[in-house]
Amino acid sequence: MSYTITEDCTGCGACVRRCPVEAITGERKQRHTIDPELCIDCGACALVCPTQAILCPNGERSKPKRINEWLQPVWNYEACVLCRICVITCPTGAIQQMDARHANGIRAGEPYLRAPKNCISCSFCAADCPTNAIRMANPKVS
Amino acid sequence: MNAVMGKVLWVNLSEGKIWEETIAPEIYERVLSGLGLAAYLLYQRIPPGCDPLGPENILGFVSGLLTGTGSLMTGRWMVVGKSPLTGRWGDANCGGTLSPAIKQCGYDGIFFTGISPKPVYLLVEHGRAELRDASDLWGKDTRQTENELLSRMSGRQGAVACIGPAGEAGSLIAGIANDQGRMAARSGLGAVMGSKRLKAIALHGAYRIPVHNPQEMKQLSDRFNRFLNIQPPFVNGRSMAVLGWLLQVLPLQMRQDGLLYKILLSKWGTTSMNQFSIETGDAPIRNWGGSNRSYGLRTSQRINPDLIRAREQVKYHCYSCPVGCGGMCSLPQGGETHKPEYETVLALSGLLQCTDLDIVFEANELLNRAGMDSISAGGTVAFAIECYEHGLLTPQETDGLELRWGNAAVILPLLQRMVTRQGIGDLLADGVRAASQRLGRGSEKFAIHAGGQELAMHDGRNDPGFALHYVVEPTPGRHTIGSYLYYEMFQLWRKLPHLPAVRSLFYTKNSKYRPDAEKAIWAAACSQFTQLMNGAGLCLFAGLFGVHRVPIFEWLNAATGWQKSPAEYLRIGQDIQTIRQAFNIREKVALQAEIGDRAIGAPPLSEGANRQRSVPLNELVSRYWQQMGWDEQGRPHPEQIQALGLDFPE
Repeated sequence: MSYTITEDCTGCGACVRRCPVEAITGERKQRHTIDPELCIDCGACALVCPTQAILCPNGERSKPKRINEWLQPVWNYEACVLCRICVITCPTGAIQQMDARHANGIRAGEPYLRAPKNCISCSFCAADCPTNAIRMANPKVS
Repeated sequence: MNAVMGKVLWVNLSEGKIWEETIAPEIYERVLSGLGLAAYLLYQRIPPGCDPLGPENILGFVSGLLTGTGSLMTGRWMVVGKSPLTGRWGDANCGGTLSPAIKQCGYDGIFFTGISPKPVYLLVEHGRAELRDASDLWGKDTRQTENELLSRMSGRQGAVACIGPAGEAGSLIAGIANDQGRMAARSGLGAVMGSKRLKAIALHGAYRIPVHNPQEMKQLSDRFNRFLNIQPPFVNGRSMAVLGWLLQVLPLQMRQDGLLYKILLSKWGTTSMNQFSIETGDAPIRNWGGSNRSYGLRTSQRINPDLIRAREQVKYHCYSCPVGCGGMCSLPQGGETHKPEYETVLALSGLLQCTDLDIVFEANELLNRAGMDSISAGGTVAFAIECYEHGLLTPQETDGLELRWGNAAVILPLLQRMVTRQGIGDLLADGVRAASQRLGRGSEKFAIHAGGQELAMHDGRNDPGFALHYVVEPTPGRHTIGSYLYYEMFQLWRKLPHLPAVRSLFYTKNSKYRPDAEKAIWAAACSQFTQLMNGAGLCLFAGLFGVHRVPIFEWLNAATGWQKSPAEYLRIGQDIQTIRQAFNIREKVALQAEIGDRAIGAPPLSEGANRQRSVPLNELVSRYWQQMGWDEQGRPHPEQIQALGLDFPE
């Protein structure tokens, strides 16, 4: 069951730009469609749709959020085991491992949000972390 | 269907066609995914007697059933096909990042038939697959190729597997690399990839992997991880050498447990065993003709794990692995390389009587970049040195290289020639069996292999279980399937009470050489359990921690929703082994592979840890066939194969 686009779509293209797997297509100012074969249920389209035109898998209409309200992963490095699952599972490549240089208190090999602007708040990293070392939080609040 | 993607991708390189094949859920339930699925498909699709380097051979890349399900240490991918090195079933196993990438692209495996008219690579991006021209990549080494293809993925998290110049040149000891030089090295499948003119596969996908009970998966992983966190600070490299010496002089064998091995792996990686293995007689020395006496503690101190760890810049973890036995190390001449594994270090030091660690590091990177198996390469250099020492090779034939024991200066030039097939390198590039057949002159006795594959750095004269598996496995010469040591460490009896337990902490060394019925039970259980691990994508090292710690059976049930017992899962491992064996029957090869006399103590060594030890191989083999439920020739019964929905080989 993937996300779908309803007749309220105005064809603004905001969802197309955010979709990490290029599952959304459509002419500008025309109703867009999501290819269910490609959709990974990340919910990025629902976060950005200004007209609440996205129907979520749970049957509810989407509610857009301002980008500074999006939740992002925060690591508890005490619990992190450096297994790289979060790095590999991230659909946008926003998470990387720290290289041999240490920076900002993050040690070599530890994962971190290298490209916060690419994070779509899908929470796949938190869901897949085998040691529950990731929680999703508002970076400004946390 | 949970835990798997339910389909595989097929590519006909001759015609440039790409298509998907849906796999029925009952197939996964019969043989799992990974190596099981690959064996099931290739047994039906590879025509008997085909040329391994011809268009009819199939090259497959498969991911494990547990990969990406929230389990730990389950990121192994396997490459499969008919081996040009052995003429038998071929497979090789590797960590890194390719395994999750295969599934994230929407497939459980990717299979290639045919031969491309020009060099190509396969690009799969989230379900969209296409062949692209690789003319500009042909000739590049594995790291150059991988970095170039990753840069074309516009910064996305991708994974690449590729061959280097060795595979392009058709070296029968070529492997396939991913993640900056980690190799699926054995069986010579890099040569198959090169013969198909397939330079690389580049994968990027983001599909989610469905799991039956994610919460239970996490609970199981959390419990396993608590064991992995145990790490006392007091062990050092010297203590391992002393422990090895102590176990050598004692007339008793100490049962080994995964807890110690876990501590060693976390700290040093596999090189923790360097001096320990030499002292106990596990590591072959000087082309299997020497012993720990000819490479004593003062000599082996040069490859002490502390010296290797001192070069480590950052630890390296394969996907889903908290242990991180790998590392990225600095090179003496600048640059970096994966920390050389135990196998590589010993194949390029003790086996050659070499003591120069700088050369080992440089050779490790040279071979990783070339895409050549370091075990086979080391074994082949050892063969060449011994031939030279006995006058079977002349300085004119070796391009002036003085191939002498301990002459480290010739190792890099010789390996370089093997990669490029220049001069003497052309003779050696296909491993010891092909080299000895071409050279003749009585050199066969110096070619130490099983069924054409150079033996790994584990001596059957110390653990006859290794020798047994070297000759009875469908992929001969492999150290990653079974041994007496592995049986002790798997501790399968904790989940399978019908299997005999090894309870005594010490037992006599002499008892290892008695070919009694219990040894066959151990060996069969190892074969079955390892095939199960290869279907699941579990790292062998996780298995060695013991099944009471690594919850492989519980993970499989929680990931898939099946309710199978450990005995039923072991039965699946048996079925996978049966299919691989049936493949070899069809190829009309000897099911008991020939093995170099030295490797089984014929004649036995006169000194060292393995002095006067020889392996009662024939008794062990016949008991093993019996324990596997096959006939006295090692042939599965027709009904065992037909029960899997497969035709019995003629």
